[in-house]
Amino acid sequence: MILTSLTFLLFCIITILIYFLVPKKLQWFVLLLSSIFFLFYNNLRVDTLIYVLLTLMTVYICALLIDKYSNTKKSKWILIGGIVIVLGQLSFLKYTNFLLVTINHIFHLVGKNFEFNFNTRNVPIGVSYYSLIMIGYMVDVYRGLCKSQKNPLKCALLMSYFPILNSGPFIRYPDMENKLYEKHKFNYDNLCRGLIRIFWGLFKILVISQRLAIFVDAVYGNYTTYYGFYIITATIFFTLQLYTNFSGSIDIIMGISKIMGIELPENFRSPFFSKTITELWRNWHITLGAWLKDYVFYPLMKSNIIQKIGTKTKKKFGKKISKKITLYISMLIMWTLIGVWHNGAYTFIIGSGILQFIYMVLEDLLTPIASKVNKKLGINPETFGYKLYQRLRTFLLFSFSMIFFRATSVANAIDIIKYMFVMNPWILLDHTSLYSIGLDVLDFQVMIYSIIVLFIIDYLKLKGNVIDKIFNQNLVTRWIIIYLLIFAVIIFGLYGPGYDSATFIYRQI
Amino acid sequence: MKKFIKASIFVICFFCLFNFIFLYLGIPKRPIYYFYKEPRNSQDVIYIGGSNAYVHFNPLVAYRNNGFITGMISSDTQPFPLVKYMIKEARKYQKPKLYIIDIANIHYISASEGSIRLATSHMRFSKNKLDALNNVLKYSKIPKKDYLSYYFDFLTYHSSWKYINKNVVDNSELYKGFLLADVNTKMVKQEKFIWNSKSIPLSEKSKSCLINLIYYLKNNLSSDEKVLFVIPPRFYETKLMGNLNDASKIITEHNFEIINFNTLDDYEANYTLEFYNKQHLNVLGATRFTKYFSEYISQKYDLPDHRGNKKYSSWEKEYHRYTENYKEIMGKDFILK
Repeated sequence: MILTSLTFLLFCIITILIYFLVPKKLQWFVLLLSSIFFLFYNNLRVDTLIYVLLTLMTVYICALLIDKYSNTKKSKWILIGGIVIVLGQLSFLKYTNFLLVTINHIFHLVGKNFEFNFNTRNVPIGVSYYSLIMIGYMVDVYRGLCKSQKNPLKCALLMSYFPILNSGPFIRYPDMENKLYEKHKFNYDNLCRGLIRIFWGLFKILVISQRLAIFVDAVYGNYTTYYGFYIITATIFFTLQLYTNFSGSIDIIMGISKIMGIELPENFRSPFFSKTITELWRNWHITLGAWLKDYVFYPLMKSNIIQKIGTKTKKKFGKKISKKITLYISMLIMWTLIGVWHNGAYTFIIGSGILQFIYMVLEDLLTPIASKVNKKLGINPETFGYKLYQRLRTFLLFSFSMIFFRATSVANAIDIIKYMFVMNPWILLDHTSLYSIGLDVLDFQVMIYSIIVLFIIDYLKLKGNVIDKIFNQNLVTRWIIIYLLIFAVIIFGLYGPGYDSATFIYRQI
Repeated sequence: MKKFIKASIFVICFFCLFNFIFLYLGIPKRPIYYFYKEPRNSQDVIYIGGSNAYVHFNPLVAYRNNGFITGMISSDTQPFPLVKYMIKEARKYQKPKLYIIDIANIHYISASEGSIRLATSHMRFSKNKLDALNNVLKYSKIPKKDYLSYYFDFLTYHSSWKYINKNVVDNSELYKGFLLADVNTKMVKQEKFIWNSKSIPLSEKSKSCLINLIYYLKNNLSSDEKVLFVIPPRFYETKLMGNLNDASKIITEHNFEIINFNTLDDYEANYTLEFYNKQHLNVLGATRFTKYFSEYISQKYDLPDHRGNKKYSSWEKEYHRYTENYKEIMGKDFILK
């Protein structure tokens, strides 16, 4: 069930209607039933149901036991056991093939003619999201941040809340406990704000992302024909496609939740206005970054191994360098995990993992040097021009890493990069060149104007809540803005026969 | 309560805007769109069929010559399974004395996307439209996943904003349902066509549609509502010609009248001057055909004469527009007599 499909729209309308019609104490149960329906509708079968139930039972029992044996060694072992089962299952479902491919590669490299066969496995929707959410829940109970949920059905809702199964965001039990299970009254204001958010999400996906996808697919599919600046343009477009696609889905999800009175954590904060890669990742997929920081990075930094490495390196290189080494090792592990989480493929590990790590290390090492150079040359880093340069640099570096994200294999990515360095900038001025790649002049113009609107809104977001700003306008202005948004989606959106429903790049199974 | 009223006004305004916009964002308008524009119960004849109907029969000529008012419910290659529903649609708005049903498309059952959309897109949303679509889609090869876009046109036509131009906004090529455009003002000499009376049985689906239509007509039309089937003058492939002979037999057996304009003694299309392609009369041929046909039905079905009636002044105005544009396109005056 794709977020932009009429089926999903109908499903949400029915869910929301029932949600507000039943007695309030049953509202959470309606959400649970809808979520179960959603899981089954999205290809949940008996074989995959076992995985879902196994995760649920494991987490439910472990959390209860952790609570029971809190502050004892037992609770730690129960937590570890729970994490191993959930992660083991996630790895089995998502990464077995990746592992087999790697082993096959190794066999190939050492000259053995043996190959493991692998097959596609039916995987429950949202497994990447709910597995981490449930691990987070067990850790939070272990840390005493919350009590374990005694009702297994309520625990099941935390795991399967349908809006987040498509593309997140990651939720945490202590934040969501009250929101998910408490009674919600219908609120007209929430409805209006939710609908605006949904239409903004649809605008991003159907008007911008779908058009960008046509161009990107055409270029990446024929990069030997469309080389040089075609690839550069397509790479920039792919970054925008990824952003509009992913943040658009989050907007739809948040809008639906908002209507039901359930506030979800923000997942994006105008990332392309970031001046560094570190800042960009603080504003991009915020909940994943925060989850990994809290449940992987900090525990890792405090772990015995890293501490030991710290002590050893401190003796050899001194305190400052030792700190950097331990930090970089933890970062490398975390970024590799981010890459692996995105998908079990080397392209993802490099594109959204290792390269980001390299950028950040370079950033950390070069920032003091850059400050000194700026001082010597009398460059004021607070000027508009300098900030613009920093933002552009960050955006381009991030876009470059996305080549790996988009490519079909590492070899393919390297090939694309090779073809990218061919000088043909005139294609940007010769309009007919760009207009011949899947999009005609009018579609291209709509896409560019929409991207400008997107950046303006993202800029306004930095200054405050845009929906609040709309609601502060007088009735006529407010309605005009809302009508413009709705009709922009209806008229300029790419949907209906002839267009496949938007495929969600970030849709994690 | 205040919020409810506000929300209701918002929704009403939305639908008004939506309707306004999608009036222009859509498939080219065909005569059925103009059929709805006519006052209720103002039409004496309803003419149903494919392009042969709205390219061959000029309601303005019929009005000027014989005074009766004709409503055209036709579209390019109108699929035959739709005929019954077009009659139902006509009966919702008009009380005509005569239904003329062009059966040149009797073989056209498994319809293409374009022909279904041209016929149904401008039908007003109602149960009858849903029934019509259900029926025609059932016979077509359209993938089921695309059905929804036939019930809700905007799913397909929202992207037609690219093609908006003056012609789309005021479709000036149709005159009370008759087409006057560059295409049908051409004169292309055709080989003389000779009708063969050999009968070839209709396909099961065509026959079933025809029988279904006949029973609908028999069971629902009052004695004041007459039906006349027509086979328009044009070229036909052997198989279709045979099918039409078979259909004529079935129609006659059920006591309905049918005229084959390819076999009449006192009317014969001029294949040198009156066609713009094998299947269609040009504007000269259409004028002569209409004059002959309107004279015939006017006398046979006792149709009223509305000429000079102020209620029908829009027809005088439209006739004036037609003659002016005819002069502009053809470079000479339109001569009715």
